[in-house]
Amino acid sequence: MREFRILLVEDNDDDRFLTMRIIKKLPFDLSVETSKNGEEALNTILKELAAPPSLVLLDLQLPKISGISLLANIRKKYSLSELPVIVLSSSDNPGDIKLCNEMGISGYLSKPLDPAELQGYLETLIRP
Amino acid sequence: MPPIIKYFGSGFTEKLKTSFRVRLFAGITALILIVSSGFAFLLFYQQYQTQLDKRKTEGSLMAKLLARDVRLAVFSGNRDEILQSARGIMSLPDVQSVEIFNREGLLIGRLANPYRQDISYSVFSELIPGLLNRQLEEHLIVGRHWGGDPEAAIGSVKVTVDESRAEARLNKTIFMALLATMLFLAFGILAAFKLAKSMSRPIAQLSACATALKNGDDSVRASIETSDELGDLAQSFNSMIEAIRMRTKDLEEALEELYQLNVALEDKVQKRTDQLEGANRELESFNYSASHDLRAPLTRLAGFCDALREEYAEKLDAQGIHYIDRISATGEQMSRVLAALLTLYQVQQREMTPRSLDLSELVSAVAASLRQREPERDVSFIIQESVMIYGDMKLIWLALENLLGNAWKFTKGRSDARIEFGKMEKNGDTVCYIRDNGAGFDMAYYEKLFQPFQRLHNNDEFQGTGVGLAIVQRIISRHGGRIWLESSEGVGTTCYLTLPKGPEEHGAGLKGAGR
Repeated sequence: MREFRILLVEDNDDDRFLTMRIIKKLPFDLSVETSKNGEEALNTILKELAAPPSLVLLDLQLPKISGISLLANIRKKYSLSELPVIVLSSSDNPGDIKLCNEMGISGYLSKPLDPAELQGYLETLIRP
Repeated sequence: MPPIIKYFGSGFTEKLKTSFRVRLFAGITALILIVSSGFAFLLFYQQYQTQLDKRKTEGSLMAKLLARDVRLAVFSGNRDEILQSARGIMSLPDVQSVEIFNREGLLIGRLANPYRQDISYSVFSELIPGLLNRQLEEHLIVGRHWGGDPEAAIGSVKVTVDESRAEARLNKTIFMALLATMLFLAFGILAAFKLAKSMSRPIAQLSACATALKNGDDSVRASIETSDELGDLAQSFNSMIEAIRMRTKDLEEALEELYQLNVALEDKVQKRTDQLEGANRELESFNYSASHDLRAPLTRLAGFCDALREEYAEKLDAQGIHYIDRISATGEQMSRVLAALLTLYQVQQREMTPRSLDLSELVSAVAASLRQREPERDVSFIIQESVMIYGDMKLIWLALENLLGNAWKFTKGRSDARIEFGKMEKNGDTVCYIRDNGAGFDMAYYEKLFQPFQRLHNNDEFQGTGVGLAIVQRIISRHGGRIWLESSEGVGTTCYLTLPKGPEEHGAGLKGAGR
C-alpha cells in the first residue's frame, strides 16, 4: 500500500501549522503537503497527475483562486473526479455548501476546526 | 291599476294605520258617502210622498167629479147619460174602470179596461149627493165638499186607477236619485283622492328628504312653495338641513385634519421604527460577526497552548505550566461567552415551528442529561407530569437547559439539593415554575438578571457566561410569554414562566422573528 498523502490548502499560517499538527498526531503513516493558495495547490496536484494526493483538505476562503474555483478546476478541467476533497469553511453559507456537494466532496468541516472532530473524521477515511 | 283601486287591495287596513294619505282619503270618502246617501234618501222620500199625495188627490178628484157629473143622470135614471159621464172619466189617463151604484148599492153602470193581475190598482169611492139644502148646494157649485152624509146620498161611484205608470215614474225617480248619488260619490272620491294626495305630498316629500339626509345626502331640499303651515315646515326643514350640512362640513374638516396629523405621526413612528430596526439589525449582525470571527483566533490560541504544553512541558517549571493553564482556561471561557452570544443571535433569528409539547417530558430529559454530565452530584428532581404547552421544541429545550442548568449550578454544594418543576394558577394564568433550594440572589439586583454579561456571582463560585437568562427571556418573549424570578439568598430561587397552551395564544411572538 502506498503512502497516504494529504494536501492541505490553507492561507493562514497559524491555521496551516495547527491543522498540520493535529493531522500528524494521528497514528498513521502519512505525509502532509501544504499550499498557501489555490494556484499553488493546483500546481502541486498537476505536478504529479499520475500520482495525485490521497486527500485534499480545502479551505474555501483563499486569495487569488478561491476554494470553489479550485474544486471546479479539479473536477471539470482536469477530470479528477475521484480525488477525495474535504472542504473547510468558516462561512456556513448554504449556497457554497450546495455548490460543493454538487461538484462532489467527501465531507465538510466548519472552521474553527475542532481537533477531535477533524481527527475522528480523518481516521474513518484513512482506516480501510 | 289606477291608484284609487290600488288603495283597496290587500293590506288596506294596514295602510290605513300607517299612511296619512290613505287615512285622509278614507275619511273624506266616508264623509261624502254619508252625506250623499243622506241627501239621496231625503230626496227619494220627498219624491215618494209627493207622488203618493198627487195620486191620492187625482184619484179622489176624479171620483168627486164623476159623482157630481152623474148626479142628475142617476137622479133621473138616465143610463145613457150615466155612461156618457163615465166615458168622460175613462178617457183620463190611467183609469182602469169606472163603476156607478144606486142608493141600494146596485151597479147601474160600468166601464172597464181589461183587468191585469200583475198591476196594482188604487180604488177611489165617492158618494153621489142627493137633494141638499141651499148652503150645501152652494158648496157643491164652488167645488167644495158637501159633507158626505150617507143619508143624503143617492148612490156612489168607484174609480179604479192603474198604478203601473205612477210606479214606473217613481222607479225612475229613485233611479235618477241613485245615479245622482253615485255620480256625486264618484266625483267626491276623486276629489278626496286628489285632496289627500295634494295634502300628503308635501309630507311625503319631507319624509323622503329626511330619509335622504339620513343616508348622507345633505344636498336635498324640500321644494314646497306654499305659504301655509306645510310651507313653513318645509322652510324650517331646509334651514335645518343647511345647519346640519355646515356642521358636517366642519366635522369632516376636523376629521381630515386629524387624519393628516395621524398620517404624519404614523410616518414619523414608521421612520423611527425603521431607524431602530436598522440599528438593531446592525447590532445583531455585529454580534454575529464578532462572535463568529473571534472564534478563529481563540481556537488558534487554544491550539498554541496545546502545542506549548505538549512540546515544551519539560522546559517549563510548575509556574510556567500554570500560566499556560490560565491562558487556556481564559480562552475557553471566552469561547463559551462567544458561543452563548451566537446562541443569543440564533435564538432571535430562528424560524419558529411551534407545536404541542409535553414540558414535563422535556424537563425530565434535561434533568437526565445534567445527571449524566455530573453523575457524582445527588440532586432530587420533583417533576409534575403532563404539563402541556405550545412552542418551538428547539427553543424551549434551550430555555429549559439554561434554567435547569442554573438550578443545577446554584444548588452545588448542598447535600439536600432539590429541583421542582410544576404548574400553578396565578391571577387566572397558568404559570409554570422551576424551584430550587440553591444559593439564591439578592432581589436588589433583579434588574441586572436579564442583561447579557451581568453576573450576580463570582466566577470562582459559580461558572457562567452571563448570557443564559438573556437567552431564556428572548425565547419566552418570542413565544408571547413572560418570565420572572423570586429569590432569597441562601434559601433558593423560583423561576416563573407563562407559555402559550395552544396555537390561538401563540400570536405576535411568531412574527417578531429577527426583531
